[in-house]
Amino acid sequence: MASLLNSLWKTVILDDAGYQEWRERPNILLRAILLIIVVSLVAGLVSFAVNLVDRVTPPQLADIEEGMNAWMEWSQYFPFSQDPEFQRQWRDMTDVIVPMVRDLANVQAPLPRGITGFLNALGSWLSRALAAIGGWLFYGALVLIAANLLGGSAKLADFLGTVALYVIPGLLLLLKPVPCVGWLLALAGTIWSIVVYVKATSVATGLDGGKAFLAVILPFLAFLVLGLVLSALVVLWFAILF
Amino acid sequence: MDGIVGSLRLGWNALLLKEDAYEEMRADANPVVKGLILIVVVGLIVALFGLVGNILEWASTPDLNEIRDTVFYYLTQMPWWKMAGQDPNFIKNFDQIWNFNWSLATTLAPTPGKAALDILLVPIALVVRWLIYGVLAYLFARWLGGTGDLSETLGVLALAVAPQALNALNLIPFVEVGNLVSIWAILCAYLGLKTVHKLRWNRAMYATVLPFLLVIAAAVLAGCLGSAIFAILVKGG
Repeated sequence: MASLLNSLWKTVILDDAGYQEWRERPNILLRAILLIIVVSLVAGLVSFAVNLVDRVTPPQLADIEEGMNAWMEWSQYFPFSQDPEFQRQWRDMTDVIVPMVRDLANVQAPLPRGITGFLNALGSWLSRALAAIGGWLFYGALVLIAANLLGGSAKLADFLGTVALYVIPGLLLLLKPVPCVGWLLALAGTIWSIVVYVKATSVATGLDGGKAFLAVILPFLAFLVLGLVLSALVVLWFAILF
Repeated sequence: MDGIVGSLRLGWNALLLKEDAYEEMRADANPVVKGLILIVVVGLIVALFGLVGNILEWASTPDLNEIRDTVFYYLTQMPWWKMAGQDPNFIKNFDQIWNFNWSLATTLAPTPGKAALDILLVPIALVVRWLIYGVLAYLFARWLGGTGDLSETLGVLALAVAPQALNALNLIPFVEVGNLVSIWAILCAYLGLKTVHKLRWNRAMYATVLPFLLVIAAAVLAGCLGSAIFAILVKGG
């Protein structure tokens, strides 16, 4: 275990030896999956706890009212919110929505609120880890295509297993709720993850750093262009029709 | 029993993208039969786990009819309703849309009955999808210079059903497996086609995705045709 953690640490500080040690261990894909699951679950611990508390406790009506009032204050920058008729209607809406939320919260499921709340929070928590695996497989396959086109080569399982190391700096997301510096630490974790991804791509495919970087961002750029072209085509099609 | 255990072991190795598993399936005397066993077993396991998960999800979901009635009561108390409600056509149209949406929601909501029916439907759906995709992928692979035969192709593509086992996580209610199964299955299918047909990586990739592109193209064409017919009807000409 200590040697595994040592290898993982070396990969985070971009030491080539760490990547080699990780690749030489047996069952690289299974280890990668476990790594992603563990890191995703740990990084999502805080949101799981918050979600759990939210779901097992009944909604606070004062909070809902406060939220609606806050929205009203925020919307003062829009011209429509200056209209006294709009303001009156908004107050009337608040008077209806608050008791509606109270009554909806009282609609019972066959299981008690504590259990249903726990199952809901658990489901969301696990779904995040599964989504992380899906994203890793999908984006990894596209990066491997780009790497192949740029002259690199790697076996699918070996490549996916190596690039999975990018999740480790994601642990910094755990510090996101820290006041003032939390978002900065999360941003640093994201950038660090990209750097580890590029390094892992370089090690797994034999590409140099520049080409590995290109291989990592090419799928993102391709999606951006594809999205723009498809949106333009849909708009054009409907403009022709109507 | 050995056949089932052997198929499941092969499925597990295929899930971990081990090329040996695909080679072993290709070399098997009856790859189609072995593949069919794997698909049916995975389908049954997934459906059984789904049944338990669905019962738990149903037991954790508040009564939809009570929610509908509560929301409707408060909607009619809102200021905009009082203004819009003066128009009888509005009430009539609103009722139609409201009832349609809620009947859709109750139809889609999980029930133990529907989950029990899945024990039959899931394996059948998996087998049908396997056969259609298998034949299309075989045709594209051969067109791209592949050398495998149809039974070998179907055999290795049965291994691409292995990621469906992840749907067993539906045992835990509210878990969303999402697109993970499809993405993983495509990667397994790619490895299978590459192994059986001895294709280069790019040709194996084309053989894997072309059947999907064919279906997407057909869907887009149908969408364009449908919207054109709709536009003609709206314009009345």
